[in-house]
Amino acid sequence: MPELLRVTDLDVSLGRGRRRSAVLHGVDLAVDKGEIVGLIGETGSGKTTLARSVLGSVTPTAGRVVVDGIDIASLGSRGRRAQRRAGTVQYVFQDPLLSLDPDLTAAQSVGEGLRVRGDRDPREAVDRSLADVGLDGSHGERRPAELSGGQRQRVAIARALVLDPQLLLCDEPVSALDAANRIQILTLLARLRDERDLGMLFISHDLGSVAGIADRIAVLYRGRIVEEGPTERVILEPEHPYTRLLLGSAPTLAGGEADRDRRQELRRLLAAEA
Amino acid sequence: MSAESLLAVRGLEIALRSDAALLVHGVSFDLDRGGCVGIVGESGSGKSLTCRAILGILPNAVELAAGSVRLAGTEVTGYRERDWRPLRGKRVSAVFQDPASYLNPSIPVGVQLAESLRVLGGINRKDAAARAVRLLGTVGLVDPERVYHRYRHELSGGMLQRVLIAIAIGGDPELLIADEATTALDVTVQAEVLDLIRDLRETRGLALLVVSHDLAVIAQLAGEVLVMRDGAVVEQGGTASVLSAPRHDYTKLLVRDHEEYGLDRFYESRRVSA
Amino acid sequence: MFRSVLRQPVGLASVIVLALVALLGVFGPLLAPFDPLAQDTSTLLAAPSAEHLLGTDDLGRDVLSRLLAGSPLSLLSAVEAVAVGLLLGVIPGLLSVLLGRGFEWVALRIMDSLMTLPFLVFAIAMSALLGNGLHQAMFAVGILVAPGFFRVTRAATLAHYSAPYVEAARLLGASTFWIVRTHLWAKIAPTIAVSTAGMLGAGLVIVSSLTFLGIGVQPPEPTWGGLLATDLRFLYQRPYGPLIPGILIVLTVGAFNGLADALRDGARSAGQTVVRARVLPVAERTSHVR
Repeated sequence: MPELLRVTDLDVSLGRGRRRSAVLHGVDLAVDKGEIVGLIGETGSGKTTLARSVLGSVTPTAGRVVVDGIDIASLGSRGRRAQRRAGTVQYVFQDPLLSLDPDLTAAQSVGEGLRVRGDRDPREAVDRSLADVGLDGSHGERRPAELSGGQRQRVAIARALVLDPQLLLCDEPVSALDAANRIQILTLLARLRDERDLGMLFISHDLGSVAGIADRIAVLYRGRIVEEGPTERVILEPEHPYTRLLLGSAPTLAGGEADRDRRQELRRLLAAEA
Repeated sequence: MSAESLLAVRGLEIALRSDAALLVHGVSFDLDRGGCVGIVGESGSGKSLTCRAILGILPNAVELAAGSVRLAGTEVTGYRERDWRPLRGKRVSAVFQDPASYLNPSIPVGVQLAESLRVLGGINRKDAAARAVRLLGTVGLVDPERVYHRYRHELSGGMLQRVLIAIAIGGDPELLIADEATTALDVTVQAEVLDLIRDLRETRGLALLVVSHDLAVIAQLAGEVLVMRDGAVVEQGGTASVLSAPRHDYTKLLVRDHEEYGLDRFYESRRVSA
Repeated sequence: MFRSVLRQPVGLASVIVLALVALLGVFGPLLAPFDPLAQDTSTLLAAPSAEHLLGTDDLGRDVLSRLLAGSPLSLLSAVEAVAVGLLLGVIPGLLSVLLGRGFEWVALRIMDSLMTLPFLVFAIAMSALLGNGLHQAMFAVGILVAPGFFRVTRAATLAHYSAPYVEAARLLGASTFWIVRTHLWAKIAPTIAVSTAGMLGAGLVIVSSLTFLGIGVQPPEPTWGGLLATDLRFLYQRPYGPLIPGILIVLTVGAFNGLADALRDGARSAGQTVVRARVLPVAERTSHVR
C-alpha cells in the first residue's frame, strides 16, 4: 500500500536570475496513514519550502512529490485547486491569530472549506468539527480576537479537519502556546492520529515539541535530510552530528552544564563539514 | 544568608493605577552576588512586570502598590528617573526577547554599542569604539571588527542577542536580568546564548535573574526558582527539589509538559534527584 | 462604519452639511425665486434687499437664484469626476495585485504617466479636444484622479493579500474571486471610502477652478465658480460678493474632508486598518522568529 505522502529526491531552487539559490537537495520523506512524522529544521533549513512543496505552492526543480498517489507537480492551477478542494492534505499554520480572518467568526472560518466546495449550509459539519477539537457553539460565534491562543489553534485545527483530510501538515502548531494548551493540543493531535488514522507531518525547530507524539523523526539541515528514523532511536542514538547538536542544545529538565563542551565540539565538527 | 543579598525583594505588589486592581502580589526572593534565580511563568503571570519593577521601568498605567526592592542594600522603590541613572547599566542591566527591536536599523550595531559605553561615562569616542570591539569578542562573536560595522538586518537573531548582551554588560553590572532572552531563537542558537550567559556569570561573578516560560531553560541556569501564575508565586524553592517533587498543580503541569511530551520522556533514567 | 462617523462631532457636522448641500443640489433650481437667466437692466449690481436676498449681478440677474440653479451642475460634475476616477482606478488597482506581474507592470506604468500630467492644463486640453463642455472636462479630471484611487486600492489590497488567512483560503481551494469577496473587499472598502470622500472635496475645488476660468461652461449657465469669477470682477461695487459662493464652496469641501477624516478614524477604532500597518493584538507568546 503506497504511503500518503512520498517525497522523492526533491530539489527546490528559489529566486530568479542571479538571486537563485538551491534550498532543498535530494530530499526523501514519507508519511504513512496513522503516523506522525516530526520534521525538525531550524531557520534556513528549508522546512518552510518543503511544506510549501507538499502543498503545491512551490514547484520542484527536480524530484517528485506524490500525495495519495497523485504527483503534485504535474497538476496545473485548475488541477491544484481541485486537489485542494478534495481536501486530502490540510495545513495548520503556525500562528492562528494571523491565519484566521479577524473579521470572520470561528464557525465561518471553519466552514469556509466546505462553502468553497459548494456546500451552502455547512453548520452540522462545522459543529461536529468544533466538538472534535473540544469547542462548542458559543466558541463558534466568536471572532479570533475574542478567543484564547489555545482556542484559536483549535479552531485552526477544526478548519483543517472539516474537509476530512488524510494528511495534516502542521507548522509549529504549539510553539506559540502555553504549557497547558500545548499538552491539550498535542493530546488532541495524537488522538486524531489514533482515531482517524490521520497521517501528520509535524514541522518544528524544536525536537522537544515533537518528541512527545511523533512516531518518526526526520532532521533537515541546510536543505538535506541528515537523519531519519523512529523517534526513540533518533533521540537516544543519534548518528549525524547536527542531530546530536540539536539534542545537546535542547534544554531539558535533566540536562545541565556537562553538555556544553560536547556542543562546542559538535559545532566545530559541523563547521568543518560545511 | 548572612551577608546582604545583591537583590532583596519583599512582598512586591504591582497594581493598575486606574482601579488599583492587583496584577502581581506577594513576590519575595533573595538573589546573592553571583547567584542565579529563575522565574517561570506564562504571559500574564506577572513575571515581566516583576522584572520591570526591579528595573524601575513599569509602564505608566501600572504602579508599585506595595513591597520593597533593595538593590545592594539600597531601597529603590520610589526612585525617580535621576535616581536610577547611576544604577542602570552599572549595577543592574537587562536583555529582552526580540533583540532586533532594541537596535536602530540605520546605524551599525558596533556604533550603538560604543554609544552606550560613552553614555555610561567618561570615555571618548575612540576608546569607546575599541572597547566595543573587545566586548563583541567577549560575547563570543567571531571577527568582532567586522560585526562592529554591520547593520541590524545583516546579523542573525543569535548574533543580535549577543550584541545586546554586550551592551548590557558594558557597564560591568552586578546583576543581569534576562527576560525571555532566548525565546525567539532557534534551539541551537539558544543553547549558545545560554552558554554565554553562564560563562559571563562564572568569569564576572554576574548575578542572574532569568525569566522564561520554559522550565527547562530555568533548570539549566538557576539554583532557585519561582513559579508564577496569574500574578502570584505558586511555588518557590531550590530548582532541583521543585523539579523532582513539585507541590503545586501548575508546577506539576509544567514538569509534565516536559516529562510526557518533551525530550525528558526519553531521559527519565538520567535525571538526578534532589 | 457609518455609525462611527455619526458618533464623532466632526463626522456628524460634515454629514449634516453635506445633506443640506445635497438638498441644495436636488431642489436648488426649483427653489430659485427668479429665473436665473432673466436679466433686469434696471437693477444692476444691487445690494441685498427683500426682493433679491443676495442682490443682483452685473446683468441684473438675481444672485440667489443663480447660486441655487448652479448647484446641481457644480456638484454633479464633482461627483462625475470622482465616479470616473473610481471606476478607472479601483478596478485596475485590485487587478494589479491579483493578475500577476505582466498586468501589474503595465498598470503601474500607465498610472505613473497619468500622475505626471498637471490637472488643469490637461483638463483644458481635453475640453479643447472633446468640446467645451463641463462634462468632458470632468471626464478628463476623472482620468487624472484615477491613479490616486489606483494607488490607494493597490496598497490596501497588497497589505491584506499577503496575509496568512488569504493563503489559508487558497489552500482550501478558494478561487481569487472568492478570496476578494470573502476576505478582501470588506477590508479595503473603508480605505476606498475615505479616499472617495476626500476626492469629492478635491473634485469640487477643481470644478470651481475650471468654471472660474470659464472653461467648460457657456455663459449664461450659472455655476459656483463662475459666480465667484463675476463677483471678483465687480469687487469694487459689491465687495461682499465673492463671499457667498466662496463660503459655499469652502463649506462643502470642508465637509467632504471632514467626512473623510471621520471615516478614517471610525475605521481605525473599529479595529480595522485603513492603509498599511496591521495593528494586531499581541499574541500570548511571540511566534518563533529566528
